[in-house]
Amino acid sequence: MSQLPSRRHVILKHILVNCILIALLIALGVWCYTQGKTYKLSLGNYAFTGADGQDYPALEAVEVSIDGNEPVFLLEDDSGTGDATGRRHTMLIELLDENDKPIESRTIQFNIADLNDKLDVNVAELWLKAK
Amino acid sequence: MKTMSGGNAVKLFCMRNAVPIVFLVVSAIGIYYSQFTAEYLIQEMLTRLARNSFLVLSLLIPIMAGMGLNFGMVLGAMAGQIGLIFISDWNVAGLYGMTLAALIATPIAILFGWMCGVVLNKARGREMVTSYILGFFMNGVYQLAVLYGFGSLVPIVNPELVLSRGYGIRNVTNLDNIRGTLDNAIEVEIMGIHIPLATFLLIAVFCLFIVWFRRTKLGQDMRATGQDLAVAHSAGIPVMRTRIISIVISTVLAAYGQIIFLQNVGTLNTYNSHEQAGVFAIASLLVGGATVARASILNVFTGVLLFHLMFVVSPMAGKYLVGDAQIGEYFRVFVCYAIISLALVLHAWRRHADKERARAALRGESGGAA
Repeated sequence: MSQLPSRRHVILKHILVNCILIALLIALGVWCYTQGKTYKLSLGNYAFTGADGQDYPALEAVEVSIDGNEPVFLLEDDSGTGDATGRRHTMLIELLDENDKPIESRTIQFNIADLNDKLDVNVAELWLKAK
Repeated sequence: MKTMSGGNAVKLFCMRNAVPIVFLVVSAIGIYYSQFTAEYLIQEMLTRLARNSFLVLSLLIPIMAGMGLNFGMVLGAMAGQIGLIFISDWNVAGLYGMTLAALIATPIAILFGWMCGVVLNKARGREMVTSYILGFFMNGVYQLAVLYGFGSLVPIVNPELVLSRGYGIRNVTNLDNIRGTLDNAIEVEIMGIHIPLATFLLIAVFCLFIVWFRRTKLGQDMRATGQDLAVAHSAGIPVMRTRIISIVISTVLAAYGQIIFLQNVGTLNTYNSHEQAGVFAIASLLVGGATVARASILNVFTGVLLFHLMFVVSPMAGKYLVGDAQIGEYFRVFVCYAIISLALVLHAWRRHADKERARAALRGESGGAA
């Protein structure tokens, strides 16, 4: 007949199972936090100097939407805010003509970790990168 | 063995279901006078069923364990609200936010439930009034913590949440981040009526959990404890532990229920939202035909439907009948709380009658007491 497990063994097993459960719940919490955290991005449409030392102008008029959210309309040297939930995002930038009709659109993926502390995004710069 | 005649069976059925029948009749009259369309009423009932059922279902387990109606479920509601305050502060949105709020609320609800269970074990036989007063006591503790602790001891980074003095949470917390996330997770619309399918699926899972739980060893222990404490103790069941577990489960589920409720509402009334959670849930359950000692899943859904039907129709019925919606509202409040009182009085009367009958049976009297 096989021997019954000792009481100490059973208690240790219970503690271990409980610890694993708590660790899993904490991990789930951290995952939910990173996936669900909403960042308020500061969207700007400014002229900038590229890595090649060349100056690039701001876009005339654009509509920017992040992850399919409500689009933000930006004129030259204009700024606005947009919400982004999670770490990785897709931004759709639509260049508009004088009648505010889209003439060209570009999509770019970016990560929150790539942005600065103030979460500033220069749409004109991303437009160029999305080329 | 004597068989019951048809007339007696109907009489017995009416007596046993007197409360739902009265509510059904009053609601039917109310529907007629309120002039609401069927689409509007169906939409309202579906929304309210999804919003409230989870909270009411959380009351079933303590009833099974013989602890009566758990007025202490407001402790769970407080735990849920603390979770929601944190996710609002951290700006965590959607289903992730709801899950995180539930995860934060769980240990708090377990702690509150354990405290409540220990206190109720010391007040055996007076569980309902004790849990009711415990709710008031913990409300004070909650208000102290949220009004003075949050923003000073507990860091709150979102300035929109904090009072202008620099600590304490504002009266109203906006839950825009999670508003309707569960209700709209699976979009279903039939004939212009929006059905919160994801919420109903979650409620269905909870119902299955209750059915499964009743068949487990712990569930059987709870039923035995609920039937007779002394007999269960003699049978080797750790009755005190079982009772504590039932309250802990109920409190944790009430926390989840409050999160589901508030995601539907979309606004957290920081200092008041939890206060009515217990009374409304208990009233719903009693309206559904449950008693202090016996409640089923059917009672939950019947009760939520009838109670909230009365909520919706009575102001308009009052307006069309006597020209003032407020009269209808007064009538609803009067009837709802009268029902709770009646249910509690009936329970006490039945218990007394049962005792008398048992004594009569012991003496060998054939008729028994009333």
